[in-house]
Amino acid sequence: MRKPGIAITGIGTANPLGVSWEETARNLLAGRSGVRTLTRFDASRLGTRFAGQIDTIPAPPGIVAADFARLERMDQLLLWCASDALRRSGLWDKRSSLRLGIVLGNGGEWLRLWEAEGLAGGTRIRNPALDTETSAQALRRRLELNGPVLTVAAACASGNYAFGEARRWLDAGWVDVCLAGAVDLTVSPLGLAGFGSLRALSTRNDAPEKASRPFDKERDGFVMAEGGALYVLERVDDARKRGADIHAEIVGFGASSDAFHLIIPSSDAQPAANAMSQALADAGISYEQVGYINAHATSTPIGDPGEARAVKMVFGETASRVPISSTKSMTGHLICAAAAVEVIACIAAFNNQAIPPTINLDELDPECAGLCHIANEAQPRRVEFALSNSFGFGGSNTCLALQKSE
Amino acid sequence: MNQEAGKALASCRVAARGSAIVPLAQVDAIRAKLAQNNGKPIPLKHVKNSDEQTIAGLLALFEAVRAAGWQERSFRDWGVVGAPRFLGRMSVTATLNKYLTDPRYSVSPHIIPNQSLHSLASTVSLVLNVQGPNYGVGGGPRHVADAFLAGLSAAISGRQPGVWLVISEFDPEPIPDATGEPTNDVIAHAVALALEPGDGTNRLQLLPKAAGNVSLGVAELAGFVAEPSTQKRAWQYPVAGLGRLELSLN
Repeated sequence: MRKPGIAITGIGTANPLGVSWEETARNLLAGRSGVRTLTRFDASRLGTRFAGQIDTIPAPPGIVAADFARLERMDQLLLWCASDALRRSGLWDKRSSLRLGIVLGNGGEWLRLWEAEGLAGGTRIRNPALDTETSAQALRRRLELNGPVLTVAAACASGNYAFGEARRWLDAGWVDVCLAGAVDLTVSPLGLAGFGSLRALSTRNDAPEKASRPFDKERDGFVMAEGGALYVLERVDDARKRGADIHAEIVGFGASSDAFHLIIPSSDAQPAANAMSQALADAGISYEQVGYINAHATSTPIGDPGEARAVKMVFGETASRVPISSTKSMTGHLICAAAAVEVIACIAAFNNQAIPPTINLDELDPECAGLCHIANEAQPRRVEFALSNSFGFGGSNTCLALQKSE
Repeated sequence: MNQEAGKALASCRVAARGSAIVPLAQVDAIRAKLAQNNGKPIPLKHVKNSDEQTIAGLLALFEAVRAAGWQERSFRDWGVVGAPRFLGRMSVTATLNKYLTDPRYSVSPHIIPNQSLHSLASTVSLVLNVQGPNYGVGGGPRHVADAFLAGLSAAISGRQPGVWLVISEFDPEPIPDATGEPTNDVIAHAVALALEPGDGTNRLQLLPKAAGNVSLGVAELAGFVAEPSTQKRAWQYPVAGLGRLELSLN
């Protein structure tokens, strides 16, 4: 018997494709790229000079724009995503009276904060007494929430771990409602230089919007991006009881480790396949019920074929019939926040019964063949269940199983 | 659930434990010693660029493995939760300084993989061949409570036979000069706990009532874990919105 899912009843986001989930979903289905030449800082000395960027993070209602503008950028992003998600869930006014927890994927928050402050001329990094709360703890304080708060990180798989942890808290009855998701603002001089030193980034500076091309033969690395998404999660029965709109249900989660290398994915696809199989088993569904795979697919030479092998391990011959696409072809790679934003692609697929495409997929890499790639244009398909893969540095493999709401 | 009586909301067994205290000046020697690992060598490349907190965490981990007599045990199906605090303060200070003063300088490729919040857990996964989940938690103030909450949550999930919980911090926190060199005597502290589902006299519990005492750091926890005693002892951490986490050790 399948155990009850966890309902998604509110979504807040800011990412290169929009500052609402509806805008993001529209752009995903339209196959638009959010990647462009960097404008927020001087990138002239960097090898990669483009990224998926957010222009302006909107101020939530009730906050004076000038006050919001003075906040640190991560605090702006979190406040926007959290307050928009809570308002849309209908729980904004009740937020302080609920046991409302936060599980936030955020992997390099101190590195980024110290960098931003240091590049602006400050010396915070050399004064530990100033580091008094995490971004998640600050969000809890600002929103006057009463539940527990946790920051989790597994590099590019952070968002899925946040969903998995929040689901456990809800199942255990530790919270009544949980804000879960992930944020990342690593599009910065040192962030780009660091990933550049790892030779992980595309250097297609003359055509940024063409640079993120998962599964394509001409891919040359991933494209960094920034943003995040937070979701209001509730037990399905609770959400139904209060008449909440349910966007989708989280029904399964799987996680494994390569135990191979801190950066390079294992050439053995079995651990990644294990994460997918675990998610299916946890959801109590068969691979034959899956109508969409949101691939991790970052557009790197090693990662994409590895994921293709993992999918074929799990789905066998069916792999050629299950639609698969990569959100990162349009958003770029939001690093820790990638998994969180990619849930929107699954919800878009459920709501529209159409699969967002992998754009820039002009010539399929033969090593990524044998899958049902949705190339360049959205395609109508029936989707009841979706899997969302996210793999990360440190050998992390995760898979989230989602179900269309009834 | 009778919350007034203080009945545990969740509980798991602490099956092994270890701690480590590593002055910064000794890190490189310990790094080399770890690679030898008492006759069961791990590739030096796994720890060559690890943060000092990760080195302390691995030392605590191997101490726990040795104390439990688990040298030959496989942890393949286990999970890892790593909870460092303020990773990268010294190296990012140095990097920022070089980036701002030398237009030709590029950032080291070792910072992102070794000084992100997941790095401690991932390194443990690598050296112990743990193929279950591995992830980092906390990273900042009150990270011990974060670690206990996440470790307990993972242990009671029933998805792995056990979870390695490794917690680390610098105490005192380094105060680097402009080049990243610490201006104070920095010591890395770490604790490793093997958490298994079920109950025992050594256990980690989530209890509904808030703790009376304040949350302390890894340095104090390391002393608590290492201190030999026949008396039952408990260590408590408040968890906002939930109650308290209590580590009881014999």
